[in-house]
Amino acid sequence: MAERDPLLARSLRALLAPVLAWARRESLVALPVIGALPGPAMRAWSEEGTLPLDIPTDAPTPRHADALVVVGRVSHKAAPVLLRLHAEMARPCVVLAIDAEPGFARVPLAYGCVPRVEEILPVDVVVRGAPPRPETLARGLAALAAIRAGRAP
Amino acid sequence: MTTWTGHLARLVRARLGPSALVEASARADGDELTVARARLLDVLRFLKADPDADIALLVDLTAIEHPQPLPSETESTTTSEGASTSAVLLPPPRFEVRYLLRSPRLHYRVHVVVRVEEDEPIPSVTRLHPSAEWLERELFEMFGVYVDGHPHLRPLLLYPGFEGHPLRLGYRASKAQPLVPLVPLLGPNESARAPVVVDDAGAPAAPAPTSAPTGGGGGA
Repeated sequence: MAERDPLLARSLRALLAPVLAWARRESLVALPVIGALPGPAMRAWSEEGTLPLDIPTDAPTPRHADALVVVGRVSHKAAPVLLRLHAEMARPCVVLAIDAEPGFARVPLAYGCVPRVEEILPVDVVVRGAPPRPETLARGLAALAAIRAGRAP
Repeated sequence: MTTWTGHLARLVRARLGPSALVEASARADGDELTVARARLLDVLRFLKADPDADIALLVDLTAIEHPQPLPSETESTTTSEGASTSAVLLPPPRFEVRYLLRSPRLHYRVHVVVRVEEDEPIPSVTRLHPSAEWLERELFEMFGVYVDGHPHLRPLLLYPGFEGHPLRLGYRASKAQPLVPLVPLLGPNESARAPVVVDDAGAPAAPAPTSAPTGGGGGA
């Protein structure tokens, strides 16, 4: 019936908007992509780190995931694959990057890696640290959920 | 662990002739045998097949590049020192390909070294040691040392279209060859796609008390 009546459809959408926002904020399913130099970032995004946060991190396909989590640095070889994964995700989706500062521990930027994920993808939240503390990761995920709740489909 | 310093060099010279080895020296963990490029396969085959050597495992294969003096440097050295010393001052070959081998039975390591110039190919050892297949591909793409007789010498870690050999001394470490165009990052106030950055600096000193109960039964 709502399909035939645009006014009713609009009203229903407005009525359900808070519910949809709540669902998006509370049911974040993440698709982790492990980069080329994951070391410290991987320690943060481990099972022990994410288990208390109740976030499923095993999205079977990109279509099932709400958040793309890029752990570590991305190599130039893997960059096109990462872009394709991001393109396959259902909208609205959010992107979280966990990585140390470029040049961390005086390791110079090498020829093989993208310096920052933000340079190839529209990243919403970046969690810095090597590895970041658990509460830092939790704050990053909370910011991510808030961004996603406010994003229109 | 058996102390076999010099044993293998004597063995190789006795069985394959004195011309098989260019040089032999002892290392802390075994022997180092420098062989001529033409005798590389003979030496490796002997080391693997001979029961006294029993070097059956190829652990690693890599190369070292020696910096080459500029043409102007060699000319000035030759003229100042005289023609008699010019042969002594010849630079070593550009690349030193090193085969790190091990005997699992005798717990012994051997470095087999071949010195080659840039345009000299080395023979493939994949028929003797199948583990060399990826290592030789990596050697070729990283150093540009051509491996003759490899079944498929295509890039292993790099991607098609990558120009140059990144582990050579002349390759600038920061010279990237991206496959995806990089978007230059602007300041947080200038770009709409600037992300929210969360780091340890702004973290609260003590963990928030509300986060504690979630950790208990959340995983079930």
